[in-house]
Amino acid sequence: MDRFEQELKDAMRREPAPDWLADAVIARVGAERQRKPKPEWFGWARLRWVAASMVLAAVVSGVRFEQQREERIRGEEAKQELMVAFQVTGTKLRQVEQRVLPVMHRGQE
Amino acid sequence: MKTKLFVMVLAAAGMMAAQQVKLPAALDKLASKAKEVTNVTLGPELMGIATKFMDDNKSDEAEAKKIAGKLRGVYIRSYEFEKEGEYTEADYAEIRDQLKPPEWTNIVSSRSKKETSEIYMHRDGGLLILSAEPRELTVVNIVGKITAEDLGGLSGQFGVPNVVVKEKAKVKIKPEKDEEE
Repeated sequence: MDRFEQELKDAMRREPAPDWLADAVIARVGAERQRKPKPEWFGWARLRWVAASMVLAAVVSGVRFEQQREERIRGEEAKQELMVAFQVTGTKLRQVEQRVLPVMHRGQE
Repeated sequence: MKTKLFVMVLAAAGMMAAQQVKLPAALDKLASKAKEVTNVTLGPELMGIATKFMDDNKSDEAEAKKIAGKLRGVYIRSYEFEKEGEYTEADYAEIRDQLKPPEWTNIVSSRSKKETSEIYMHRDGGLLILSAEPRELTVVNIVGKITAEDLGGLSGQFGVPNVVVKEKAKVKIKPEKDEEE
């Protein structure tokens, strides 16, 4: 056995683990178990909230859009009605004017 | 301060209510006999909505908006009949009974055998037009602060030839042409 073989044998020789190692490993495992898991940004719980919020936002926007559409229709109808009302009023005023003016002119003559 | 404001609002509402003439139920019954009916009921809320949707860039709408801004309501009942004698003076007598001085002043009155045209102004600014023709009866009640200038505007801007108004009000004009022939 030459010197190299002797060194290799010494290096490969089994030595018992130190007494403190087992306790340290058990303590570390216990600490890992107690530590809370890190929050997952794209976990299922979070995705559910995001989806629910998006649905809620879509519903609110839809309701708002429908309200605005109804108000626009109502406004356009009211506007048309008002324009017709003014036209009827204007026409009647003009008719009365046409009836009254000749009488007034005759009175002036 | 709040009480004063409340009283002022109540007084204003009372003044506006006084300008609104109660349209008799007899008028609504005429609708079944009429060939064409124009029925406009625009209260304060609808007047507000209507003016909101008027375009300032269109001259007729801008003029209408200017006038409508002073008004609290427009109520029109207009009936056109196929033949004469479909209504009597009694049908609108209830309206006349409400137009008493000093609240109402008859500013124009034109009467002939077959036609009656009357314009009344309320002392707080309201207007009522009553036009009774052989085949047409029209009652216009405007509630609000309408001025003589506004009347001129209405007559000029919106007093377009009869045919155009009738087309807009979806009234057929064919019988009138027959009559002319």
